[in-house]
Amino acid sequence: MAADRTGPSGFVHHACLYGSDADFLAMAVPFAKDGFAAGEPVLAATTPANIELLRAALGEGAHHLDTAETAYFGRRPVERVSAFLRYHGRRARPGRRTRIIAEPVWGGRSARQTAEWKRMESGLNVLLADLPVWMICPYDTRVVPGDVVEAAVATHPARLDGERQTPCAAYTEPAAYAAAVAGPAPCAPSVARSTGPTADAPELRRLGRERAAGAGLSGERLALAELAVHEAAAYLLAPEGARVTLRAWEEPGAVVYELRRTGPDGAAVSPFAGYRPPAPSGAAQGPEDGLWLARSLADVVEVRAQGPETVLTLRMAGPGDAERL
Amino acid sequence: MDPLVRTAELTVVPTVSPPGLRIVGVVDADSHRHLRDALQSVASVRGGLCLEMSRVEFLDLAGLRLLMTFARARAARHCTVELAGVPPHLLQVITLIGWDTTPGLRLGAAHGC
Repeated sequence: MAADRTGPSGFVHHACLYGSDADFLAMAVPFAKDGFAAGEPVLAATTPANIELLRAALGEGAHHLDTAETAYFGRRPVERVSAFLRYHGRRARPGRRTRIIAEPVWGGRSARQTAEWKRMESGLNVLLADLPVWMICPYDTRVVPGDVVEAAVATHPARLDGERQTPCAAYTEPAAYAAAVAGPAPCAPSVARSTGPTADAPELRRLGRERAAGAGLSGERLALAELAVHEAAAYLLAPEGARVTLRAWEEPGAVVYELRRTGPDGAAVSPFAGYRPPAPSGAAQGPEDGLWLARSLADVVEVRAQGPETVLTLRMAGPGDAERL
Repeated sequence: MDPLVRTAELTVVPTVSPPGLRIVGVVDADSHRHLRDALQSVASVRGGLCLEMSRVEFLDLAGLRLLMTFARARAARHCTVELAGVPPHLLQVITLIGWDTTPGLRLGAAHGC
């Protein structure tokens, strides 16, 4: 394959739009076999049906294949990025590339989730840029909606059909793509409680806790909501001169926090900030660690630039979330 | 025993049996320095050390990292630190980040050392 010649230095990210089992295998079998032959770790994070197909097609070679049922290999984008990094960290071999087939789940997702997964697909080009990873993201055109297929060719620099590689003409620079897919920020209702603008993180987290308690969260979940708001606020307040206004309100199923930062000039937040997990405990605190924690504790965190302002929307699951009962 | 730290938000008191510290109140950007100094003051205690945390009202991520760094430093000298009475949500965060395997760290009993 052409990408073999790029060497193991940086991230290679391909989409594979397949419409049949045969199309899937035409990409996956040579990808896996070439990896085995080169002594490279190969992971297939895809549907159980595709894992079964691939194992059968690889025969004895399937013993070398690492697999993960994709729905559980990082349930949300922030966990997905951690799952990729963990796999690479555990399996990478010096001087060799790591090969990953990564098929996201698209069926049944809400509009907000779909937008976040599209954004992450684009963000991987930035987040994993320095890693010697060759990732192919299969999209099953029999089941994924048209807008997701369009996203595939906008978020991957090239596509693979079998072993044939074609640049994606629609590929969009990740920051621009993320801004385009974000949509407008939600509008705080008139009943929203607010405080600020302030540089005082304790003032912001106190309102965060109060609203979460008012929405019916208690115990651990209340403490985690307070911590998520605090870490998001502290992240936004890090640049000298920053001020944050917090608005908080309830929606069915969620407590919503809007943290709006004004100033300082030129302190733009990357839409992909806070997707990489903190370094091990012996290392220094990373600048995005708190935002990572907020992303991990919240249902979703969205970051938008609005003129000179940065708007971070954090949604915590409400008390009716039965998974957390 | 006299507190090592006494501010409006944070109190840290040395404990003798077991040797260690009782941390009470809020640890955030305003008090990291105080917590670091208090930890430093017991850094030379040999063997096991206990941090009693059941009355911690708030502890941010950077504060948690201070405790992990302290545990690692103790591990390097073949000593440990037990975190006792850690509020359940902080146990969840420690595990979420993967810091529960930090060398020198013991996550202890729910209520006191």
